[in-house]
Amino acid sequence: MNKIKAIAIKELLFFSNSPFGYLYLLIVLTISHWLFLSDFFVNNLSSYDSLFNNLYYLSIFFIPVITMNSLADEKKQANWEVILSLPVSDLELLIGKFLGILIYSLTSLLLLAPAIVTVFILGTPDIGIFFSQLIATILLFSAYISAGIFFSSLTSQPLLSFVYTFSLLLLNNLIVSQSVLSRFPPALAQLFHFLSLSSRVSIVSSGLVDLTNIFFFFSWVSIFLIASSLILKKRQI
Amino acid sequence: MLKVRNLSKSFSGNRVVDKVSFDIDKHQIVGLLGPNGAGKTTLMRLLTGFYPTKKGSILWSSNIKHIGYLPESNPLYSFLTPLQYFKFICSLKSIPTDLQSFEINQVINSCKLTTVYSQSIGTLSKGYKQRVGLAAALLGNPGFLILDEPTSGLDPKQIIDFRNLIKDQSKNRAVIISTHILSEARAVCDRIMIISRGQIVLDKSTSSIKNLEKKFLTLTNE
Repeated sequence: MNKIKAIAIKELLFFSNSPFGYLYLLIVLTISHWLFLSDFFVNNLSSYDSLFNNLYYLSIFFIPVITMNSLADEKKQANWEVILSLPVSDLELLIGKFLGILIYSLTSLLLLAPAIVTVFILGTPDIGIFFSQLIATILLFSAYISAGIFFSSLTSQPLLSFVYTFSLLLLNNLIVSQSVLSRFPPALAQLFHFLSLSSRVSIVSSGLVDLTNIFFFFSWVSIFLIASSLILKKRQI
Repeated sequence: MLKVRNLSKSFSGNRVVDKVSFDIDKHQIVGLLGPNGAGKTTLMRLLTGFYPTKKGSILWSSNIKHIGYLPESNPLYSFLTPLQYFKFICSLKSIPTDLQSFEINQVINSCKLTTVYSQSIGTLSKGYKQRVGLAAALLGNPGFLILDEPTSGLDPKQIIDFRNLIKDQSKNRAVIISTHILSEARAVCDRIMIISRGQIVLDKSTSSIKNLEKKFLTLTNE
């Protein structure tokens, strides 16, 4: 557990000791608040729907940005050669990286506090729905990060890792739009809907935080982390 | 201390390390010489456990708790300070928390990093970065040190300093150095192993090899 913690702290130090980490948070913060405030007073609703929906869409782009270096850069700089020559398992390395990046990505939620407090002051938002949306965000970020780590394990080029992850996440969101689903046979459309993260997130954020959906996200994360460990085992430089 | 028997490694059917066998005793500095692509780095990666051993065997004596490893490119995290990096490596080596400060102070002093340990690694000179890499390898007082091309890219003064540092460190442990610089092997090592096409073609004490350059060229002529 200490090794996982050390790797997670090292990941956090990467973000906190480099301008990249602050720039990322500043951009996410600015865009999220700008999108939220642009229609908040027009809608005149004390709800966080628009805030979280925007965040879900933004994360399709932003999560690949923060995961692209996770393993690709370790391979490129050969740091993984040192780490994996120490008594550290591939899975410990992956879980440490996953937790470090997840904690960092969740700091962007803390920065949404001004918007969250504004709604609380001006109206009476549904607290239950608010917490469901928070849980949905954590689950979605976890799933996106695990996919990002997987694609980062496939290459030593961070940019390629970004392109792969972004493409998968975009596809995963686009495939459940009505215009796309209507072109497929019903059985296939149902399968896409079942496998899509965005449809699961809509269910959880609407307040239905059930075990089936949590298990789905847990499985998604586990599959990608295990697949990453299988890739790492090959030690392809 | 270390017994290697019939160790082999192939990549896509191409045998890069071919049935290599040797023993290394305590306090020895062994130079692993060979031309580029001879299999030196692969052999070192096998010894460190980065590549799992599938053919042959590597037996470490039971008193070896850690192996110190400094890869050729000396990979470090430029966004960390040496102190943060050493704490990270200590945790990965499972060094107990109460011993970590002692261990870190010891390597900072022995590698002469007292003036730079709180500075970002990215701002250090190549020579200091190499010392940081070596200091990280020395954490946990490893019984065996594996250094892959440790002086590549250093200026002459840094090379002399680094060689002295390696000699100092060999008092407590065995050291294996991979290099293709013959003069370096002669200056630092007690024993020389020449590897060519994945096989050990010469394994003798440095003093018993009369014309190393000639021998090297003859044995590695591909």
